[in-house]
Amino acid sequence: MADTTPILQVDGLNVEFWVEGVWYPAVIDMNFTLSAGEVLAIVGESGSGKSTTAMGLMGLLAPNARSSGSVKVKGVEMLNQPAAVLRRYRGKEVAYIFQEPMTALNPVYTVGSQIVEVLRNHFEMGPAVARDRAIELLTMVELPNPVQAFDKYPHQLSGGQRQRAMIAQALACDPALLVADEPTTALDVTVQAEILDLMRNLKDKLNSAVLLITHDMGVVADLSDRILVMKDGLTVENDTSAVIFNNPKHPYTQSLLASVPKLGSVAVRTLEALAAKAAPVLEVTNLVIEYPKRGRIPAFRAVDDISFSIQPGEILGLVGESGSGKTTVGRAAIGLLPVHDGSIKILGNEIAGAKMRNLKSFRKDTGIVFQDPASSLNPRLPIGESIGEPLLLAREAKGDELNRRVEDLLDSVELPRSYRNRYPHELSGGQKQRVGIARALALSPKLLIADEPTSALDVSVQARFLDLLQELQDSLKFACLFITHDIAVVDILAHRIAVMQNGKLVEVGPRDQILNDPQELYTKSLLAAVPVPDPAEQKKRREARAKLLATAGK
Amino acid sequence: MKNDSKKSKKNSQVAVASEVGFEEVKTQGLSQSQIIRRKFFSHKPAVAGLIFMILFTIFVYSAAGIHLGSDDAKITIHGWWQFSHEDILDPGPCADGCPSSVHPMGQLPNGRDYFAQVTRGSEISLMVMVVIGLLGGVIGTVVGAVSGFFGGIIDAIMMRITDFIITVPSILIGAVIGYRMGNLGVLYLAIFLGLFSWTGLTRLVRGEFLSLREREFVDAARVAGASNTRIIFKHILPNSIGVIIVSTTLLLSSSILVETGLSFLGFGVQAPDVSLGVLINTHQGEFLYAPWLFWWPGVIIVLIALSINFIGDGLRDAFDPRQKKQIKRKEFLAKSSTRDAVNKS
Repeated sequence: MADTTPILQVDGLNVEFWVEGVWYPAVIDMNFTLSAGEVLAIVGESGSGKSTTAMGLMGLLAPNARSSGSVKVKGVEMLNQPAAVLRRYRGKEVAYIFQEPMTALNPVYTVGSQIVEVLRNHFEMGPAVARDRAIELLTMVELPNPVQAFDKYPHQLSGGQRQRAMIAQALACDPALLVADEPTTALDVTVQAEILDLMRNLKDKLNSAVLLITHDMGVVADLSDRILVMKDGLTVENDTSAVIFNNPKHPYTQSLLASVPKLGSVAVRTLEALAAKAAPVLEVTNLVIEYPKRGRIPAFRAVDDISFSIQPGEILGLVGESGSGKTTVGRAAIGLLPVHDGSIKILGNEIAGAKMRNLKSFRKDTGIVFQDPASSLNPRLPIGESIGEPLLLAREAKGDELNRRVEDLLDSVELPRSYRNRYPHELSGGQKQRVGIARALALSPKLLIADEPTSALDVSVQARFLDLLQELQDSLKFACLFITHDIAVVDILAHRIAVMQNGKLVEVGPRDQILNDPQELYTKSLLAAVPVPDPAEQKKRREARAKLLATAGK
Repeated sequence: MKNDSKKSKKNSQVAVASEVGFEEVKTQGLSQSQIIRRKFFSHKPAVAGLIFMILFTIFVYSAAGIHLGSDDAKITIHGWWQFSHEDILDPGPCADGCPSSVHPMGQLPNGRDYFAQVTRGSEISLMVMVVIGLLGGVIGTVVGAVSGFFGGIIDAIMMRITDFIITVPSILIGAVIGYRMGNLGVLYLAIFLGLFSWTGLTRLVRGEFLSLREREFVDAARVAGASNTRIIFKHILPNSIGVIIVSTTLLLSSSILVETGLSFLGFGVQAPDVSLGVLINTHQGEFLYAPWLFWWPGVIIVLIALSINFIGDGLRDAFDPRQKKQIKRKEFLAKSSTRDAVNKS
């Protein structure tokens, strides 16, 4: 290319937020350049300032922010320019792909009309021409039936399809720079792999520069040429992807890489003295759960004829994509959902069809950790009270005894005792999830159900959380049904793995067998889609996955 | 109400226990109630409204005394003001009844002291307001909570009853009740009005419960073994307290207007008792030559309604955790320039 000006040049970028009278720096002295056809990944934990950087490039920050330094797009200064200037570049030269396509697309307009809007904002274009171009874009992002998809509303598309539509909208004006802010975080692994493939192909086709923001090192390994690691607003390391992955210099980068769970990296967890004779803690036989029909919407069978059991002290990992019914199984196993058919036995007691009153007796033996720590704690109760509630209601303890037990529980999940008077909003995500565990373990249950407890956490927080859970399990010996979509997490914890798809159990087996020698095609494709935080290895896996899908297609 | 006191007791226990055990308590962050209180007290109009209401209530009740019961069984405690609203007096220094040193708010043509009338009227209006607000608030909250929490057939029945009550205009209900019950005393009127004024709050609380009951902390409480009553009152209700308080304050200020309207139409408070509405009604004809007879009660009604709305505003802002103080542009620029100066030097 004759034109050597980089697409994006950032010099000494500082962003600060004004909070209650104090300026808090969010991005400190950031420098990087990005040329056409190149992918730069900004990696860091939540709160490290990576999204702030992305939004700050085009002046999309909240009004209490101010930025200094220089941001040049194709040599033109963007920072602190009037909105009219920025509007000419937003969407046209610099396009954004956001994390959650459901909220980033306007639910009351069709997908097509939102793409047409972008086109007609920036080009002199008639409605019919714009429509043709939009359909062309939808075809380009490999959306099935683009002509029909044009007239669909966001809620009529699946998560992956919505993200494709978002990408089509972002690409509408052939932007020179594409900023992708956690584009695959909200998606399943298999869908994530497809979106990553799509982004790679499009980048090569259009020769755009891509600024990828993510906390998932696997995604980074898959896509990026260069990596910039951020921590607390500071640039920790900025180098090519090969160097970062194979020879990280900064200790923070090293610890970030170390905390990414890797498939097959952990020694086999053996269940000592797992007597097959021992009565199972949880026994599920031919379980069917239906969501009853509502008006014209027919009944939906979420779980279809599932049988499995968990022995005392065993961790069973239940894996599947969103919508596969794994959460439904977990909630039914603890008596939160009515059972349509089949049986669920906890310690030999049937809970399918049991009355509220009878359920009370088995509440003592079960605990559940929910997916979203923000929603699973009552925002108006101090956490000490949340933790103590099961004890109080089971009449196990009250008064001083209750206080002591709550303190013990806080100790066991490694939270300071002084936190007991705090409210959930004063805690970080990882801390809230610890509170969730403490509450679930308050009555020393024999069965713990963990419903995606780590999906809302950063990798390093997740690693610490999993360590804690493992320690607790080693000492308390509870049986655990661990529900997750992340196979790498199950790999660390589980003794056995069950795979679910569309409400059916695809495969159950010991961890090693499922991971190393999966029998079913679905399990194979699920495993192949997990990105590995190593560029060379990931390239091999990508090709292997393409081959697998090709054979499956035949 | 019961629930609140229980909660605060428990909080204080916890606080005592940890104060004994730990030093960190001092450095601990603010609790929810402290945050709310602080936010409320930084809302200037709300604080002004609150102070006005407290002082005004004390002033009115101490001046007019307390008169309870009907004619045959009366409990009367006299206030500090020398005249009662029922005393018929000789004309004072001002012949046409205009304000004077003896009668600071003037005198009625029949010789009654207007200050005594206005304080007594305010007393009645405040009482009506509190009774309607309390009844409407409690019934509305309970019906909405039960209906939203249980859903299904219970919800359907309760909401149809609510719909039915909404379709009947409140002024009509008031007029009928006022006509039938007016002679029983104003307290009964207030109670009956309260029994018909809970519908709006019910709708809001129900909506709030519908969304809150799907949250995971409700499931968590259920798994912990909590009963439905406990889930409703301990877990969900505190989370919808914002809506309840705001809607109740609106109910309060609208109830004072309903009473005024009814009395204006002649269905509410009956002579010789007075309320602010009655005073305005009877003296509208004298507006041209004795305007003070109209202005005193009118201004007081406006002030009460305003301060209650300000208090409601302040409460709503204080209870909403997303509500943050917006920086003013001028302040923002000023802050940044001082900071730059500090940085440079």
